[in-house]
Amino acid sequence: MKGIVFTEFLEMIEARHDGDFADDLIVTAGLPHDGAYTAVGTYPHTEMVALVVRYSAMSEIPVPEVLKGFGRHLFERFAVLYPVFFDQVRCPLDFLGTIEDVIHVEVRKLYPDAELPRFDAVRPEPGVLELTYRSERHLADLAEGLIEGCVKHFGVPHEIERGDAESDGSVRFRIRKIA
Amino acid sequence: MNEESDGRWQRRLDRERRARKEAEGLLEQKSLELFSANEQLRRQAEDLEKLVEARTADLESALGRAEAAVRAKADFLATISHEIRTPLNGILGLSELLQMEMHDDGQRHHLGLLRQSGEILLALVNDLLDFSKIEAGHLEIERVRFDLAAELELVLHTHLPTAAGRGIDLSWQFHHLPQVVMGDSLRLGQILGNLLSNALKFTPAGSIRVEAHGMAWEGGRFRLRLTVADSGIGISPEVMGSLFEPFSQGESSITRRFGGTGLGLAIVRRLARAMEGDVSVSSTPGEGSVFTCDLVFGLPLAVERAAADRDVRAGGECDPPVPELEILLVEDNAINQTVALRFLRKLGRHADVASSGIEALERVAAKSYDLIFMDMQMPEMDGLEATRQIRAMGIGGGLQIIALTANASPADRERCFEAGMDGFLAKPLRLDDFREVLCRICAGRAVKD
Repeated sequence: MKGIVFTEFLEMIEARHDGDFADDLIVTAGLPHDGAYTAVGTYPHTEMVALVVRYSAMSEIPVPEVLKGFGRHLFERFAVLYPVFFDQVRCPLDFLGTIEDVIHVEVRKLYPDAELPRFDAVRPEPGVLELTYRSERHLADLAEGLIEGCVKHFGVPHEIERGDAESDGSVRFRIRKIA
Repeated sequence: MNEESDGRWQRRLDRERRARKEAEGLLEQKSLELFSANEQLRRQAEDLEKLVEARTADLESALGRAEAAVRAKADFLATISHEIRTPLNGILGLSELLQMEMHDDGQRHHLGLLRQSGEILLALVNDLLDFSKIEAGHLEIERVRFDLAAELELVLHTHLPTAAGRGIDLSWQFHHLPQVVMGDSLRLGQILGNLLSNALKFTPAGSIRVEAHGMAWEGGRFRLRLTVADSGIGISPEVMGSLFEPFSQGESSITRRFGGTGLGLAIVRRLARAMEGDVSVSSTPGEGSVFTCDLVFGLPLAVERAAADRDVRAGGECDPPVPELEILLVEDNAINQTVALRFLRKLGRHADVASSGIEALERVAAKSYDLIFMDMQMPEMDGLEATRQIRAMGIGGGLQIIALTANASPADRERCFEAGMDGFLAKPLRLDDFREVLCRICAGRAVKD
């Protein structure tokens, strides 16, 4: 998992609580190298799981909610860090449709060996996007948070419908513009 | 409490430091990868460059070999053609002389046929040589000043006897021609000559009309349109398309009936295109053909457009006027000596003979000549060197030196003039050529006197 996910998560915790809280989280999560993360590094995703589970316990927020909240936060951070992907895009459906063909292409230029989730998009009818999330990590909650963050970012009301996990672990989201 | 706080800060600081060092390590690693990738690209580029160099060298050497082969072919053709023309020269000259001296009509007739065959053979050799030169890219188009109307008339006059002999009315008319143009008079003559020979060949009776029009004068350039219209057998539409292709004639039976290599019109087209023009034909079978040839010439800075609208019908014989001339013939080949001397005698002239360039110098030092016929190719001292030395002797009185040469290419002519010659006669030698030279020189003298 890319280091930026870890650094952004810990910065979110520090902002929500404080430095000591984040330090306690790192120390008590039992991380192999004491939670020293850099955005350009790559780390085992089990460390992320350990952090989220530990944070859930400390804050008494259920894990799915932690992940969704982090997803919303992460999307806003992406908008700040990588404004180039937001030029010319005015609608969340258009943005979500470009993840595979534009954003992941750019990510792979910097990190050729990055293990990225797949977001396959189809537009079955005007105003509707179906996005299928596939990942070894099974972080559909994080994906849902990211989609929510996206809709919120563009400020156009959309309804997000989440399907059940398929046997292969993929999850389909249906995003529909509210007329 | 303070200790606990200090410990926490120390831990967070260590954590940040470790993260920074990891990032630095990753940066170094990426830089190294980039450097390696760059090196690899550079090496590939170098390899490609070497490959391109090697291929270029291969191509250059292949091109060199191909060019050498073409040169060898052209040289071979030139040599062979020269070798063939030298004995032909003897055959043609001697048969012309014999024919004049012979009184038995049957034998005269046979000699006439012999000479005719020789002439045809010569034309074939000349066409083949010319065409292979053009094909080998050796076509040089000269750019020298010449009198356009005079050049056209010269060619027309040489075809008059043939036309008259067949009862064909050959006439011509010029419109809006400049007095002088810049271009290749020899090639122009060749184009008109080929078109006239073609028209004569395919016109059993009737007339041939030649017109030369000045079409456009602009930007120092002059466009000439030559039309040769005959009342001959015409050309069927089927063969019209391939008429200007080499070795093609109207139909194969034409070759048997009319002879020829089928190169004449192909040569005309290539020459016309080399002179920024082209040639085309229109024809009605049974009524005749019209060949139209456009050519571009340069115009000298100041041209006089006047005096060029001429309407001429038929031409007359020119016999050399009376003035006595001291003539020296410089020629190493005994047969050529005989032929040239006999021709001169036919024209009422006597000539001294020198068999080498060195002997020529001795003769010139001992006696004052008006006219020297100088062979170009002689052992020890060739015609060019002999001419240069004669000119260096500073002899005045309008001594004319005329080259006798088998090679009349623009470059050869240029060398002749540079050496100090005044003109040249192409071998094989002909009585008419000698007559024309003598006419010109005597006419010049008459004006001076």
